[in-house]
This record gives sequence, structure tokens and C-alpha cells, in this order.
Amino acid sequence: MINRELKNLFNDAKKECQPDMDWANDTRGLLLSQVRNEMPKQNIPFLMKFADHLVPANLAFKPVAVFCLIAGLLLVSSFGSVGAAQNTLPGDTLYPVKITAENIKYNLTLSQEGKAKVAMDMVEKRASELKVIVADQENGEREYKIVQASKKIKDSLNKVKDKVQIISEKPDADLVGVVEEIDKKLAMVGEEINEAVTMAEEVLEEIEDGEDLEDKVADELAQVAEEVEEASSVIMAALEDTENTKTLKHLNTKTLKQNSVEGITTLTSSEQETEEVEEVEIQETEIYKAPIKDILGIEEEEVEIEEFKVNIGN
Amino acid sequence: MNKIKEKFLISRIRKGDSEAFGSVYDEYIKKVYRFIFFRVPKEEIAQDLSHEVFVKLLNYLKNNSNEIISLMGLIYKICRTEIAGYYSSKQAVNDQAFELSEEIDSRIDKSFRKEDVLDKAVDKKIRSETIMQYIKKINNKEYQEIIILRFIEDMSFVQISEVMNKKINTSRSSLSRALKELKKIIEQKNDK
Repeated sequence: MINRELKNLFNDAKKECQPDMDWANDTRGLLLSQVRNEMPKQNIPFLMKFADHLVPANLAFKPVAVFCLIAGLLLVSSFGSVGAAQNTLPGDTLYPVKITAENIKYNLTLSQEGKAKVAMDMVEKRASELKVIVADQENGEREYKIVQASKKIKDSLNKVKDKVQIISEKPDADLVGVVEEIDKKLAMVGEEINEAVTMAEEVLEEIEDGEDLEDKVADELAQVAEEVEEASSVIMAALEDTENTKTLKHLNTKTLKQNSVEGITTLTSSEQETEEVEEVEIQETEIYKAPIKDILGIEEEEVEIEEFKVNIGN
Repeated sequence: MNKIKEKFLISRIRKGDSEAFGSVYDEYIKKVYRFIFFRVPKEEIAQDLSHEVFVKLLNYLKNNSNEIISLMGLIYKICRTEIAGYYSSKQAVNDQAFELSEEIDSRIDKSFRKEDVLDKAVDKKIRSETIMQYIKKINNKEYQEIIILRFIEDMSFVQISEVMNKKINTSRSSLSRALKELKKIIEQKNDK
């Protein structure tokens, strides 16, 4: 995009354009003394000071350091340091530690259904935090914290929706239980959020001269409620899919039994590829009722299958 | 500096940890200085404004407990505000910003005369001053910024979009236009 000459000029300019080191050092001293004078030093947890040295400058290019960081954080959590952060809220010092630990747990969970469960736990925790923040009348920064907590809930809900959609695409009927469990938890979260929204109406009334903030708080809470509804729809759709999968599996199992022919068994599900087999005779007398409409998209009907010749080919 | 480290440092600064602020200063002082230097006429002005940037950063961290998504974005935003504030003040008029003095003009001419035998170090300094002056001659402030961020600070488009609060594709288009503008200025100078 640029020629070499121009590139060299830029490189030279970068090397030449350096601040005077004496000035830089003097300025540094002035600024640090300003920090010491104007900001009373609070107790900084050892973990927080140490973490600065643990985190490498560029995580992307130091996988070993990343692994050590993750292992170190897990080790720390086993000694209760992360436990100390469990009751923190948005804006608290150790809150990022709490979120980081949850994200690590989420990332280290291998299965999609496991991730969906962990994401749902995160939504529950964020909803509880929101309720606590809204109820805390003495907190002067309540409005900002409500906005932050709402954003975190939306992030976690997006994770739940993504994972549930992935799960619903798997032809595994055992996942119905997982999705149902998430659905129950989401219903409880929805109730908690409704309670928080009701309490937040008082917060909105208290905001003076802050129309923008009032709008922002109201918008964020409304968006959270919408996200909960959307997640609920995704879960409902997933439950329908997984129910169909369960039925399809049941149908295939039954059909296998019915169609067993000497030496050859084949699936007659429309979703399975058929193999070229010899012409076979099948004798059926049972009345078989299948939810054909849901699976094959045709009208539901009762079918009495009698003796007939079936040519199962391409 | 990655996001996790930034978050830890910001939390510590808010707790009054001067060492943490020192780490942020060490990380960003050269970038801030260069960014401002290419936008103002004198080194002394760049120094004053760079100092102000860190003072404003400290005050922001002290008085706001909002979550900071990007410390780099915040710092460059403060830089742009300081530069805009400088130019809207009377001081900029007195400093006669963006006017090349005769001395600098002659030095630029010399850098394009191949027959002149100049010491390499001096030549390099003149060439770097040349490109600095050309960047300062670009009328569009956004173009100036994006050239500095891309070619002086070697930022990726992802980082540029974070700093300038634009989409990545928009940043690419802006850079393309900025380079055309810069090349036009260079050609105009060569034609003279």
C-alpha cells in the first residue's frame, strides 16, 4: 500500500520522535507524587498485586504463560481466594476476579451441554447481583451498577442461547433433560429480574437531573427482560426439536424390530440413507400410529400395515 | 497491554496504588508523546499536553468508577481532547501552527538533493522532520491521526478501530484516503 521509501521515512520519524528522557522522568515523578497525595492508599489484596506480574504482556504469543496463568488461577481458587470474591458486586475490587474465574470455568468445560449449564449458572448469579444492587438504597452509584449488571446478564444470556441452539442440532435425545433444566432455571431468573425491574422503578424516580441516565437504566432493564424472553423462545424451540429427536429415535428403534430380515436390518427413517438390499417381504399386522406430521411433514394418519412386498432400493 | 492486565492496573490505581499508575505511564508515555507531537508545532507544547493527558487520566480514574472497556481508547480520546483544546485556545494562534519556517523549508529541500553529501545522522533527522511536517500539512485531523496510529505506532486495524471508535472497514477506507492526501502533498512539494 505504501512504497518502501515512505515506509522508511515513517520508521525514521518514529525513531527520531522520542520524548526527552529527563522530561519524561520528571513528569513521572510529579504524577506519582500527585497520586500519593490525592488518593489515599487502600489495602490492595496480594493477589491483585501479584496478578500484574503473572499476566504476560501479550497473552496471544505465550501459550505456556497462559496455561500457567489458568493453572495458577485454578490453584488460587482452591485456596478460597476466589471464594473471597464470591459475594462481590459490579464495581467492587475483586469482582473482575470473580468474573474471570467463572469465564475460566466456562472455557474449560468441554461439552456444549456443560457450557450451557455453566452459562445458565452465570445468568442466575448476575440476576441475583442485580437484585442486590437495586435493593441497596445507600449506594450512590446504584444506577451505574444497574447498567453494568444488566450488560453482564445479557452477555451470559447470549452464551446460553448459543449453546442451546448448538445442543438442539445434535440428534441426541438425552439432551432433553439438560434443556429442561435450563428452562426451569430461566423461568426463575425471569421472576427475579421482574422483581428487580419493579424495585428499579423507585431508583428511576430518584434520579434527578439525569434524564440520560434514567433512560439508560430503563433501556438496559428493558433489554434484559427482552433477552430473557428471547432465550426462553430459543429454549422452547430447542425442546420441540429434542422431543422430535426422541420420537424419531423411538420410531427408528421400533422400525428396526419390525423390519428385521434374515441377515439384513435396515432403517426406514426418511432421514437415514437407505442401502441397496434385496427385495424383502415384510409382514405387519399392528396398527402403528406415528407422529408423521411432525417428522415427515404429512398428515397424521392411522395405518394398518398388512402383508406386502417392499422393494427397498436407491 | 492486554485487557486483563489493564483491569488489574485500573483497580489498583483506584485504590491509590502509585506503582500501578507508574506502569500505565511507562507503557503509554512514548505513544502519547508521539501522537501529540505529530499534531502540534513544537516539542514544548507536546510535552505540556502529554503531561495534561496523564493528569486528566488520573482524575478520570479517581472520580469515576465506571468499567473501562479499553484503557488505550480512553487515553487516546483524552489526547484528542487535549489537542482540540489547544487549537481552540489563543495559544495556537500565537504559535502559528502548521506554518513552515524558512529554515525548515530549506532543510527539506536539501533532503531531496541527491548531490548533497550530508552526514547520515543529520540526513535521517531531516528526513524524519520532513515526514512530520508533511503529516502536519494534511488538513483533515482524522487522516493525520490514522496515519500516525498505523505507520508510526504500528497499530492493527482492530486497535485503530478501538481507538478511533470506528468500524474496521471504515478505518481501512480512511487510511486509504489519508495516504492519497499525503502523497498529493509530497508530490506538490516535489513539483516546486
